Amino acid sequence: VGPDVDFRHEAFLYGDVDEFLAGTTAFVRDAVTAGEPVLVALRAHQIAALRAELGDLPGVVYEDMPTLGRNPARIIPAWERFVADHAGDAPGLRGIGEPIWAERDAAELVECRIHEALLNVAFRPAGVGLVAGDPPRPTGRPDGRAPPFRLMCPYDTTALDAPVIDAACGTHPLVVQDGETGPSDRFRVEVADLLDEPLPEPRSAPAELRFDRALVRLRRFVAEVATRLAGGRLDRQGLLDVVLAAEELGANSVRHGGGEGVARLWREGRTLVCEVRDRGHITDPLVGRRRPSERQLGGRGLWLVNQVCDLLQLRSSRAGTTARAHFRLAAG
Amino acid sequence: MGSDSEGNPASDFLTGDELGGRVVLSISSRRRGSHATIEIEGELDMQGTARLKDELRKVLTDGIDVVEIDASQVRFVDSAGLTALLAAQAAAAEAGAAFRVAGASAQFARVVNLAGLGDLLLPAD
Repeated sequence: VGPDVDFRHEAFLYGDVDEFLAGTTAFVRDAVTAGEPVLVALRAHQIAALRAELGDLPGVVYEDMPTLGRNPARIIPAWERFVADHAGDAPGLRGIGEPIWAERDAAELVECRIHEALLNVAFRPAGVGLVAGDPPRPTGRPDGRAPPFRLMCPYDTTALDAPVIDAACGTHPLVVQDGETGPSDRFRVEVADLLDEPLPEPRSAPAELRFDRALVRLRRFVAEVATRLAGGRLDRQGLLDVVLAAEELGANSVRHGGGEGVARLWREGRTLVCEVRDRGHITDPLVGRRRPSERQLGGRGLWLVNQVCDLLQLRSSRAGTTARAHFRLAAG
Repeated sequence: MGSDSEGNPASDFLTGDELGGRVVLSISSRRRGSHATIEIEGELDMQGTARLKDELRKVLTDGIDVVEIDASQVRFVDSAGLTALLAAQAAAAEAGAAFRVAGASAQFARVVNLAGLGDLLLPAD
Protein backbone atom coordinates (compact mmCIF):
# COMPACT_ATOMS: atom_id res chain seq x y z
CA VAL A 1 0.00 0.00 0.00
CA GLY A 2 1.93 2.97 -1.29
CA PRO A 3 1.27 6.68 -1.38
CA ASP A 4 -0.29 6.45 -4.85
CA VAL A 5 -3.21 4.40 -3.56
CA ASP A 6 -6.45 5.69 -5.01
CA PHE A 7 -8.70 3.82 -2.59
CA ARG A 8 -9.31 5.17 0.88
CA HIS A 9 -11.09 2.66 3.12
CA GLU A 10 -12.08 3.97 6.51
CA ALA A 11 -13.97 2.50 9.45
CA PHE A 12 -16.19 5.10 11.07
CA LEU A 13 -16.84 4.09 14.69
CA TYR A 14 -19.95 5.75 16.11
CA GLY A 15 -21.66 5.32 19.45
CA ASP A 16 -25.08 6.84 18.86
CA VAL A 17 -27.34 8.29 16.20
CA ASP A 18 -26.09 11.86 16.65
CA GLU A 19 -22.52 10.81 16.12
CA PHE A 20 -23.60 8.72 13.14
CA LEU A 21 -25.45 11.62 11.52
CA ALA A 22 -22.69 14.15 12.21
CA GLY A 23 -20.06 11.94 10.57
CA THR A 24 -22.07 10.76 7.59
CA THR A 25 -23.68 14.11 6.71
CA ALA A 26 -20.30 15.87 6.77
CA PHE A 27 -18.87 13.12 4.54
CA VAL A 28 -21.70 13.47 2.01
CA ARG A 29 -21.69 17.29 2.04
CA ASP A 30 -17.94 17.38 1.41
CA ALA A 31 -18.42 15.07 -1.56
CA VAL A 32 -21.22 17.16 -3.04
CA THR A 33 -19.16 20.35 -2.63
CA ALA A 34 -16.29 18.68 -4.48
CA GLY A 35 -18.59 17.41 -7.24
CA GLU A 36 -18.03 13.77 -6.28
CA PRO A 37 -20.86 11.25 -6.81
CA VAL A 38 -21.86 9.38 -3.64
CA LEU A 39 -23.50 5.99 -3.15
CA VAL A 40 -24.96 5.53 0.33
CA ALA A 41 -25.76 1.90 1.26
CA LEU A 42 -27.39 1.75 4.68
CA ARG A 43 -30.47 0.43 6.43
CA ALA A 44 -33.81 2.10 5.67
CA HIS A 45 -34.14 4.01 8.95
CA GLN A 46 -30.60 5.37 8.57
CA ILE A 47 -31.29 6.48 5.02
CA ALA A 48 -34.48 8.22 6.17
CA ALA A 49 -32.58 10.05 8.93
CA LEU A 50 -29.77 11.05 6.58
CA ARG A 51 -32.19 12.32 3.93
CA ALA A 52 -34.08 14.31 6.53
CA GLU A 53 -30.80 16.05 7.43
CA LEU A 54 -29.45 16.52 3.93
CA GLY A 55 -32.52 17.06 1.77
CA ASP A 56 -32.13 16.18 -1.88
CA LEU A 57 -28.54 16.67 -2.99
CA PRO A 58 -27.26 16.25 -6.54
CA GLY A 59 -25.17 13.16 -7.21
CA VAL A 60 -26.22 11.30 -4.07
CA VAL A 61 -27.81 7.88 -4.51
CA TYR A 62 -29.17 5.66 -1.74
CA GLU A 63 -29.45 1.87 -1.64
CA ASP A 64 -30.87 -0.45 0.98
CA MET A 65 -27.91 -2.39 2.37
CA PRO A 66 -29.89 -5.35 3.77
CA THR A 67 -31.18 -5.92 0.21
CA LEU A 68 -27.97 -5.16 -1.65
CA GLY A 69 -25.70 -6.89 0.84
CA ARG A 70 -27.80 -9.59 2.43
CA ASN A 71 -25.17 -11.85 0.93
CA PRO A 72 -22.05 -9.74 1.62
CA ALA A 73 -20.38 -11.21 -1.47
CA ARG A 74 -22.70 -9.02 -3.57
CA ILE A 75 -21.39 -5.76 -2.11
CA ILE A 76 -18.04 -5.53 -3.92
CA PRO A 77 -19.67 -5.91 -7.37
CA ALA A 78 -22.07 -3.10 -6.41
CA TRP A 79 -19.18 -0.77 -5.53
CA GLU A 80 -17.36 -1.79 -8.69
CA ARG A 81 -20.42 -0.98 -10.77
CA PHE A 82 -20.77 2.40 -9.03
CA VAL A 83 -17.12 3.20 -9.74
CA ALA A 84 -17.34 2.02 -13.36
CA ASP A 85 -20.56 3.98 -13.97
CA HIS A 86 -19.24 7.24 -12.53
CA ALA A 87 -15.50 7.16 -13.07
CA GLY A 88 -15.76 8.89 -16.44
CA ASP A 89 -15.36 12.53 -15.52
CA ALA A 90 -15.75 12.62 -11.75
CA PRO A 91 -12.90 14.17 -9.75
CA GLY A 92 -13.44 11.45 -7.17
CA LEU A 93 -16.03 9.03 -5.84
CA ARG A 94 -17.38 8.36 -2.39
CA GLY A 95 -19.36 5.63 -0.72
CA ILE A 96 -20.89 4.93 2.65
CA GLY A 97 -21.50 1.26 3.32
CA GLU A 98 -22.42 -0.40 6.59
CA PRO A 99 -22.22 -4.15 6.01
CA ILE A 100 -22.68 -5.21 9.63
CA TRP A 101 -25.62 -4.70 11.96
CA ALA A 102 -26.56 -6.37 15.23
CA GLU A 103 -28.85 -8.97 13.64
CA ARG A 104 -26.10 -10.51 11.51
CA ASP A 105 -25.48 -14.09 12.67
CA ALA A 106 -22.09 -15.61 13.48
CA ALA A 107 -21.46 -16.98 9.99
CA GLU A 108 -22.46 -13.66 8.41
CA LEU A 109 -20.08 -11.77 10.70
CA VAL A 110 -17.18 -13.95 9.54
CA GLU A 111 -18.08 -13.40 5.88
CA CYS A 112 -18.56 -9.65 6.42
CA ARG A 113 -15.05 -9.44 7.85
CA ILE A 114 -13.72 -11.31 4.82
CA HIS A 115 -15.72 -8.95 2.60
CA GLU A 116 -14.15 -5.90 4.25
CA ALA A 117 -10.67 -7.39 3.80
CA LEU A 118 -11.44 -8.23 0.16
CA LEU A 119 -12.38 -4.60 -0.55
CA ASN A 120 -8.69 -3.79 -0.05
CA VAL A 121 -7.89 -6.44 -2.63
CA ALA A 122 -10.64 -5.55 -5.12
CA PHE A 123 -9.70 -1.86 -5.06
CA ARG A 124 -5.98 -2.39 -4.99
CA PRO A 125 -4.05 0.21 -6.96
CA ALA A 126 -5.11 0.36 -10.60
CA GLY A 127 -3.07 -1.77 -12.95
CA VAL A 128 -1.85 -4.13 -10.25
CA GLY A 129 -2.61 -7.80 -10.82
CA LEU A 130 -3.45 -9.98 -7.87
CA VAL A 131 -2.53 -13.56 -8.61
CA ALA A 132 -1.13 -15.28 -11.66
CA GLY A 133 -3.51 -14.86 -14.56
CA ASP A 134 -5.56 -12.20 -12.85
CA PRO A 135 -6.27 -9.16 -14.97
CA PRO A 136 -5.39 -5.70 -13.67
CA ARG A 137 -8.25 -3.98 -11.95
CA PRO A 138 -10.33 -2.07 -14.49
CA THR A 139 -10.50 1.62 -13.74
CA GLY A 140 -13.62 2.55 -15.66
CA ARG A 141 -11.70 5.17 -17.63
CA PRO A 142 -10.24 4.87 -21.11
CA ASP A 143 -6.96 6.38 -19.94
CA GLY A 144 -6.68 3.62 -17.32
CA ARG A 145 -6.42 6.11 -14.49
CA ALA A 146 -8.82 5.58 -11.61
CA PRO A 147 -10.35 8.49 -9.76
CA PRO A 148 -9.84 8.36 -6.01
CA PHE A 149 -12.54 6.34 -4.31
CA ARG A 150 -13.19 6.99 -0.66
CA LEU A 151 -15.32 4.44 1.20
CA MET A 152 -16.61 5.02 4.71
CA CYS A 153 -17.84 1.98 6.63
CA PRO A 154 -19.84 2.93 9.72
CA TYR A 155 -19.65 0.58 12.73
CA ASP A 156 -22.04 0.93 15.65
CA THR A 157 -19.88 0.52 18.76
CA THR A 158 -22.94 0.40 21.02
CA ALA A 159 -24.82 -2.34 19.16
CA LEU A 160 -21.89 -4.49 18.02
CA ASP A 161 -19.63 -6.69 20.15
CA ALA A 162 -16.04 -5.60 20.78
CA PRO A 163 -14.49 -8.37 18.62
CA VAL A 164 -16.47 -7.07 15.62
CA ILE A 165 -15.07 -3.57 16.14
CA ASP A 166 -11.56 -5.01 16.61
CA ALA A 167 -11.93 -6.92 13.36
CA ALA A 168 -13.01 -3.71 11.59
CA CYS A 169 -9.80 -2.04 12.76
CA GLY A 170 -7.92 -4.95 11.18
CA THR A 171 -9.59 -4.58 7.79
CA HIS A 172 -9.54 -0.77 7.48
CA PRO A 173 -6.28 1.14 7.08
CA LEU A 174 -7.98 4.23 8.50
CA VAL A 175 -10.20 4.59 11.55
CA VAL A 176 -12.42 7.58 12.28
CA GLN A 177 -13.49 7.94 15.91
CA ASP A 178 -14.48 10.90 18.09
CA GLY A 179 -13.96 13.24 15.16
CA GLU A 180 -10.36 12.10 14.64
CA THR A 181 -9.07 10.21 11.61
CA GLY A 182 -5.96 8.12 12.04
CA PRO A 183 -4.20 5.08 10.65
CA SER A 184 -5.20 1.77 12.22
CA ASP A 185 -2.20 0.08 13.79
CA ARG A 186 -4.00 -3.24 13.58
CA PHE A 187 -4.60 -3.05 9.82
CA ARG A 188 -2.97 -5.69 7.67
CA VAL A 189 -3.35 -6.63 4.03
CA GLU A 190 -4.60 -10.18 3.74
CA VAL A 191 -4.87 -12.15 0.56
CA ALA A 192 -3.66 -15.71 0.82
CA ASP A 193 -5.14 -16.57 4.20
CA LEU A 194 -8.61 -15.17 3.53
CA LEU A 195 -9.89 -18.47 2.20
CA ASP A 196 -8.40 -20.38 5.09
CA GLU A 197 -10.65 -19.48 8.04
CA PRO A 198 -11.90 -22.65 9.73
CA LEU A 199 -15.58 -23.55 9.44
CA PRO A 200 -17.57 -24.90 12.40
CA GLU A 201 -18.86 -28.47 12.30
CA PRO A 202 -22.54 -28.84 11.38
CA ARG A 203 -24.80 -28.55 14.40
CA SER A 204 -27.03 -31.40 13.22
CA ALA A 205 -26.23 -34.62 11.38
CA PRO A 206 -26.02 -33.84 7.66
CA ALA A 207 -27.38 -35.88 4.77
CA GLU A 208 -24.45 -36.76 2.54
CA LEU A 209 -23.90 -37.75 -1.09
CA ARG A 210 -20.71 -38.52 -2.96
CA PHE A 211 -21.21 -37.37 -6.54
CA ASP A 212 -19.39 -37.43 -9.88
CA ARG A 213 -20.03 -35.92 -13.28
CA ALA A 214 -23.59 -37.25 -13.39
CA LEU A 215 -24.77 -34.07 -11.68
CA VAL A 216 -28.41 -34.98 -12.12
CA ARG A 217 -27.99 -37.34 -9.15
CA LEU A 218 -26.75 -34.42 -7.07
CA ARG A 219 -29.74 -32.31 -8.16
CA ARG A 220 -32.25 -35.02 -7.24
CA PHE A 221 -30.54 -35.61 -3.90
CA VAL A 222 -30.44 -31.92 -3.02
CA ALA A 223 -34.05 -31.35 -4.03
CA GLU A 224 -35.26 -34.31 -1.97
CA VAL A 225 -33.25 -33.46 1.12
CA ALA A 226 -33.84 -29.70 0.97
CA THR A 227 -37.59 -30.27 0.63
CA ARG A 228 -37.56 -32.56 3.65
CA LEU A 229 -35.32 -30.32 5.78
CA ALA A 230 -37.23 -27.15 4.95
CA GLY A 231 -40.54 -28.61 6.08
CA GLY A 232 -42.64 -26.31 3.90
CA ARG A 233 -40.53 -23.19 4.53
CA LEU A 234 -39.04 -23.16 1.05
CA ASP A 235 -41.15 -22.26 -1.98
CA ARG A 236 -40.55 -23.66 -5.45
CA GLN A 237 -38.24 -20.81 -6.46
CA GLY A 238 -36.31 -21.23 -3.25
CA LEU A 239 -35.91 -24.95 -3.91
CA LEU A 240 -34.70 -24.26 -7.45
CA ASP A 241 -32.16 -21.82 -6.03
CA VAL A 242 -30.78 -24.44 -3.65
CA VAL A 243 -30.59 -26.94 -6.50
CA LEU A 244 -28.86 -24.40 -8.78
CA ALA A 245 -26.30 -23.53 -6.10
CA ALA A 246 -25.53 -27.22 -5.51
CA GLU A 247 -25.29 -27.79 -9.26
CA GLU A 248 -22.80 -24.96 -9.78
CA LEU A 249 -20.68 -25.99 -6.81
CA GLY A 250 -20.82 -29.60 -8.00
CA ALA A 251 -19.92 -28.60 -11.55
CA ASN A 252 -16.84 -26.85 -10.16
CA SER A 253 -15.89 -30.07 -8.38
CA VAL A 254 -16.27 -32.01 -11.62
CA ARG A 255 -14.24 -29.50 -13.63
CA HIS A 256 -11.63 -28.28 -11.16
CA GLY A 257 -11.89 -30.51 -8.10
CA GLY A 258 -10.77 -33.90 -9.32
CA GLY A 259 -13.99 -34.91 -11.07
CA GLU A 260 -15.98 -35.67 -7.94
CA GLY A 261 -17.04 -34.28 -4.61
CA VAL A 262 -19.12 -34.74 -1.50
CA ALA A 263 -22.33 -32.82 -0.87
CA ARG A 264 -23.85 -32.38 2.59
CA LEU A 265 -27.08 -30.69 3.61
CA TRP A 266 -28.31 -29.79 7.05
CA ARG A 267 -30.41 -27.25 8.84
CA GLU A 268 -29.39 -24.79 11.54
CA GLY A 269 -32.48 -23.08 12.91
CA ARG A 270 -33.98 -21.08 10.08
CA THR A 271 -31.01 -21.66 7.82
CA LEU A 272 -30.58 -24.48 5.32
CA VAL A 273 -26.92 -25.17 4.54
CA CYS A 274 -25.73 -26.88 1.37
CA GLU A 275 -22.05 -27.80 1.38
CA VAL A 276 -19.87 -29.16 -1.42
CA ARG A 277 -16.32 -30.38 -0.80
CA ASP A 278 -13.74 -31.46 -3.34
CA ARG A 279 -10.00 -31.73 -3.91
CA GLY A 280 -9.71 -28.52 -5.92
CA HIS A 281 -7.72 -25.48 -4.86
CA ILE A 282 -9.07 -21.97 -5.42
CA THR A 283 -6.39 -19.28 -5.28
CA ASP A 284 -8.36 -16.22 -6.40
CA PRO A 285 -9.98 -14.73 -3.28
CA LEU A 286 -12.34 -12.60 -5.39
CA VAL A 287 -13.86 -15.54 -7.21
CA GLY A 288 -17.64 -15.21 -7.43
CA ARG A 289 -17.44 -11.46 -6.78
CA ARG A 290 -16.55 -10.32 -10.27
CA ARG A 291 -19.53 -9.43 -12.40
CA PRO A 292 -19.10 -11.62 -15.49
CA SER A 293 -18.94 -9.82 -18.82
CA GLU A 294 -21.34 -10.77 -21.61
CA ARG A 295 -18.46 -11.90 -23.76
CA GLN A 296 -16.76 -14.37 -21.48
CA LEU A 297 -17.44 -18.06 -21.92
CA GLY A 298 -17.69 -19.71 -18.52
CA GLY A 299 -16.66 -18.32 -15.16
CA ARG A 300 -20.23 -17.71 -14.02
CA GLY A 301 -20.76 -20.60 -11.61
CA LEU A 302 -19.81 -19.01 -8.29
CA TRP A 303 -21.28 -15.69 -9.41
CA LEU A 304 -24.63 -17.44 -9.83
CA VAL A 305 -24.29 -19.16 -6.46
CA ASN A 306 -23.74 -15.78 -4.82
CA GLN A 307 -26.84 -14.36 -6.52
CA VAL A 308 -29.18 -17.11 -5.30
CA CYS A 309 -27.93 -17.84 -1.78
CA ASP A 310 -28.00 -15.63 1.31
CA LEU A 311 -24.42 -16.40 2.29
CA LEU A 312 -21.55 -18.29 0.70
CA GLN A 313 -18.66 -19.55 2.79
CA LEU A 314 -15.78 -20.47 0.55
CA ARG A 315 -12.67 -22.08 2.01
CA SER A 316 -9.77 -23.45 0.05
CA SER A 317 -6.25 -24.70 0.60
CA ARG A 318 -3.97 -27.30 -0.91
CA ALA A 319 -5.99 -29.86 1.02
CA GLY A 320 -9.14 -29.01 -0.95
CA THR A 321 -12.10 -26.69 -1.23
CA THR A 322 -15.24 -26.42 0.88
CA ALA A 323 -18.15 -24.22 -0.14
CA ARG A 324 -21.22 -23.71 2.02
CA ALA A 325 -24.25 -21.94 0.61
CA HIS A 326 -26.73 -20.73 3.23
CA PHE A 327 -30.43 -20.25 2.53
CA ARG A 328 -32.71 -18.43 4.92
CA LEU A 329 -36.01 -20.29 5.27
CA ALA A 330 -39.36 -18.55 5.60
CA ALA A 331 -40.70 -18.03 9.10
CA GLY A 332 -42.96 -20.90 10.02
CA MET B 1 -45.33 -21.37 -17.52
CA GLY B 2 -47.29 -20.39 -14.48
CA SER B 3 -49.36 -23.50 -14.13
CA ASP B 4 -46.47 -25.69 -13.02
CA SER B 5 -45.17 -23.11 -10.56
CA GLU B 6 -47.88 -24.24 -8.17
CA GLY B 7 -48.25 -27.47 -6.33
CA ASN B 8 -46.04 -29.65 -4.23
CA PRO B 9 -42.42 -29.22 -5.30
CA ALA B 10 -41.69 -32.78 -4.22
CA SER B 11 -44.02 -34.11 -6.88
CA ASP B 12 -42.37 -32.47 -9.88
CA PHE B 13 -39.33 -33.16 -12.01
CA LEU B 14 -36.86 -32.12 -9.34
CA THR B 15 -37.57 -34.97 -7.01
CA GLY B 16 -39.81 -37.41 -8.85
CA ASP B 17 -38.78 -40.92 -7.87
CA GLU B 18 -39.57 -42.26 -11.30
CA LEU B 19 -36.88 -39.97 -12.72
CA GLY B 20 -34.18 -41.27 -10.40
CA GLY B 21 -30.81 -40.22 -11.70
CA ARG B 22 -31.97 -39.65 -15.26
CA VAL B 23 -31.57 -36.26 -16.97
CA VAL B 24 -34.76 -35.28 -18.68
CA LEU B 25 -33.62 -33.43 -21.77
CA SER B 26 -35.02 -33.40 -25.24
CA ILE B 27 -33.46 -31.35 -28.01
CA SER B 28 -35.12 -31.27 -31.39
CA SER B 29 -35.18 -28.96 -34.37
CA ARG B 30 -37.54 -28.05 -37.14
CA ARG B 31 -37.00 -26.07 -40.28
CA ARG B 32 -39.14 -23.69 -42.29
CA GLY B 33 -37.33 -22.38 -45.36
CA SER B 34 -34.09 -20.81 -44.22
CA HIS B 35 -35.32 -20.55 -40.63
CA ALA B 36 -34.42 -23.23 -38.07
CA THR B 37 -35.83 -23.60 -34.57
CA ILE B 38 -34.09 -25.67 -31.91
CA GLU B 39 -36.39 -26.64 -29.11
CA ILE B 40 -34.88 -27.45 -25.72
CA GLU B 41 -37.10 -29.24 -23.27
CA GLY B 42 -36.16 -30.30 -19.74
CA GLU B 43 -32.85 -29.86 -17.96
CA LEU B 44 -29.91 -28.35 -19.80
CA ASP B 45 -26.78 -29.11 -17.76
CA MET B 46 -23.11 -29.78 -18.44
CA GLN B 47 -23.81 -33.23 -19.82
CA GLY B 48 -26.57 -31.95 -22.09
CA THR B 49 -24.45 -29.30 -23.76
CA ALA B 50 -22.91 -31.78 -26.22
CA ARG B 51 -26.38 -32.57 -27.54
CA LEU B 52 -27.11 -28.90 -28.09
CA LYS B 53 -23.85 -28.58 -29.99
CA ASP B 54 -24.69 -31.64 -32.13
CA GLU B 55 -28.15 -30.31 -32.94
CA LEU B 56 -26.76 -26.94 -33.91
CA ARG B 57 -24.15 -28.54 -36.16
CA LYS B 58 -26.93 -30.50 -37.87
CA VAL B 59 -28.99 -27.36 -38.33
CA LEU B 60 -26.20 -25.11 -39.58
CA THR B 61 -25.25 -27.29 -42.53
CA ASP B 62 -27.37 -26.01 -45.37
CA GLY B 63 -28.57 -22.51 -46.17
CA ILE B 64 -30.02 -21.53 -42.82
CA ASP B 65 -29.93 -17.83 -42.10
CA VAL B 66 -31.86 -17.69 -38.83
CA VAL B 67 -31.39 -19.98 -35.84
CA GLU B 68 -33.98 -19.63 -33.17
CA ILE B 69 -33.82 -21.25 -29.74
CA ASP B 70 -37.07 -22.15 -28.05
CA ALA B 71 -36.29 -22.31 -24.34
CA SER B 72 -39.89 -22.08 -23.18
CA GLN B 73 -39.81 -25.69 -21.96
CA VAL B 74 -36.49 -25.48 -20.12
CA ARG B 75 -37.12 -26.55 -16.54
CA PHE B 76 -33.54 -26.25 -15.34
CA VAL B 77 -30.44 -24.62 -16.77
CA ASP B 78 -27.01 -24.11 -15.22
CA SER B 79 -24.06 -21.92 -16.16
CA ALA B 80 -22.66 -24.66 -18.40
CA GLY B 81 -25.96 -24.59 -20.30
CA LEU B 82 -25.73 -20.82 -20.70
CA THR B 83 -22.12 -21.11 -21.88
CA ALA B 84 -23.26 -23.65 -24.47
CA LEU B 85 -25.88 -21.19 -25.72
CA LEU B 86 -23.26 -18.43 -26.00
CA ALA B 87 -21.08 -20.83 -27.95
CA ALA B 88 -24.05 -21.66 -30.17
CA GLN B 89 -24.54 -17.97 -30.81
CA ALA B 90 -20.90 -17.59 -31.81
CA ALA B 91 -21.09 -20.66 -34.06
CA ALA B 92 -24.22 -19.33 -35.76
CA ALA B 93 -22.56 -15.96 -36.32
CA GLU B 94 -19.54 -17.68 -37.82
CA ALA B 95 -21.84 -19.54 -40.21
CA GLY B 96 -23.47 -16.24 -41.15
CA ALA B 97 -26.78 -16.98 -39.45
CA ALA B 98 -28.73 -14.72 -37.12
CA PHE B 99 -29.30 -16.16 -33.66
CA ARG B 100 -32.06 -15.41 -31.24
CA VAL B 101 -33.88 -16.91 -28.32
CA ALA B 102 -37.57 -16.92 -29.08
CA GLY B 103 -39.12 -18.38 -25.97
CA ALA B 104 -37.97 -18.56 -22.37
CA SER B 105 -39.42 -20.33 -19.36
CA ALA B 106 -39.49 -18.43 -16.08
CA GLN B 107 -36.61 -20.49 -14.65
CA PHE B 108 -34.52 -20.03 -17.81
CA ALA B 109 -35.13 -16.27 -17.75
CA ARG B 110 -34.24 -16.06 -14.08
CA VAL B 111 -30.89 -17.79 -14.46
CA VAL B 112 -30.06 -15.83 -17.63
CA ASN B 113 -30.80 -12.55 -15.87
CA LEU B 114 -28.80 -13.48 -12.77
CA ALA B 115 -25.87 -14.32 -15.04
CA GLY B 116 -26.17 -10.86 -16.64
CA LEU B 117 -26.97 -12.30 -20.07
CA GLY B 118 -30.47 -10.94 -20.54
CA ASP B 119 -29.55 -8.84 -23.57
CA LEU B 120 -28.06 -11.84 -25.35
CA LEU B 121 -30.17 -14.81 -24.35
CA LEU B 122 -33.70 -13.55 -23.77
CA PRO B 123 -36.38 -12.75 -26.31
CA ALA B 124 -36.31 -9.05 -27.22
CA ASP B 125 -39.80 -7.79 -26.44
